[in-house]
Amino acid sequence: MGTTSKITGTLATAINKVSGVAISSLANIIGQAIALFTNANSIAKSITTGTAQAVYVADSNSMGVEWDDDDDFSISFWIKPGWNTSLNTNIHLFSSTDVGGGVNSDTFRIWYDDGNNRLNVQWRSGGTQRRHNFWTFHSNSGKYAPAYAAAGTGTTYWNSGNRGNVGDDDYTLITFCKGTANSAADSNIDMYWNGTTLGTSHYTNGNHVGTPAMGNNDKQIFLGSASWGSYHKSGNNTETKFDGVTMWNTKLTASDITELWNSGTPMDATTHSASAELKGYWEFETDGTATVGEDMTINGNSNIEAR
Amino acid sequence: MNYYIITKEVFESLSNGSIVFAHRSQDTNRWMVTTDDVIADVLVTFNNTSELSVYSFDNHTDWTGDGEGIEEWEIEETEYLNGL
Repeated sequence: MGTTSKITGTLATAINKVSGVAISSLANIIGQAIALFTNANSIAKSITTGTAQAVYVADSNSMGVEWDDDDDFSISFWIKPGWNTSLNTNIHLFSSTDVGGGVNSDTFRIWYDDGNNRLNVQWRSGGTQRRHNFWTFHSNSGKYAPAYAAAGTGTTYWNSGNRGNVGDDDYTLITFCKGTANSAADSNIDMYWNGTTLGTSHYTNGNHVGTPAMGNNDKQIFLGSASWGSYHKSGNNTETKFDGVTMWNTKLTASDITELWNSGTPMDATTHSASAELKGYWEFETDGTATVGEDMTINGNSNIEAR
Repeated sequence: MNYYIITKEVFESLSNGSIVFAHRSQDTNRWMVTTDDVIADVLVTFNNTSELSVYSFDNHTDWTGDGEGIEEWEIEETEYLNGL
């Protein structure tokens, strides 16, 4: 438990939530190991892929990330792929659904399709109510060329043996930004690899089926697995690692992404010029070398319960 | 819609425009496909997406590397695009 044993007179072991508290008021616990925030599903930055593990954060307290189809928001994370060329299926990198919900319960997700080398994004409220788009990295022609250049993975698919353009410690910063329209068209969404836009998506006007009508319910958020069912689609081979997950209540701009990329070194997102819109920030510890069971430090302007 | 497992050779003989979904086997010698076309030379035929998905879970080591099969939504929503 580090050097912090009490928070405002309460035994830390009795605290399972930090809610409604400004980050400035939590400064005395930043950087401390808080064992309470650890369990088998809460893994510091590191997911042993193929064994159905994921980082799981339950939003039981309206922490400000209950976005729906007409909200603008951005989600960013550093990732170090552990899957190899034999994955040949999807791995969810980030996903959220209503707490306890299924695949159609106000789902938002970013996933990598290893069978086709596509980075997908989708939101949906039903089987026939969804918005979808994707970028691919192995075609250096036409509208796909910017993504080819940004990723730097060449004609080979993205995996642990071909991480492409990376920052510190072989991590890549993936950022998705959405505007207020209920549309997956290029005019409303952007995806970035490190500090560079992936450019035009495959479906310029979005792949639209029906009209998603999402609610603003509390969310369960998973890294490395689907947020419905029981921890699955986690990849294969070695660990896929995550760092610096941020959730913003705005569509970040290109210059915002450049600042967040910080030339490849994860920054303290609370010092970002757009930090007033920072609603979720999980800054995992020990630079990606943490193992299962290591503590997770919670940072940022969030009211969250991590378990 | 028709649901098949076919050989690599049959797959490569198909018109790309007729394929709706395609997923190669781990050994790259077979393909799961959905198509509006009727294919005569097939290894296995399924009646619907659910059957194809169940088969992939029952035989996941042949089809994916994550210890699981291919879910129905993946079959229904992953568009086959030749070269992409």
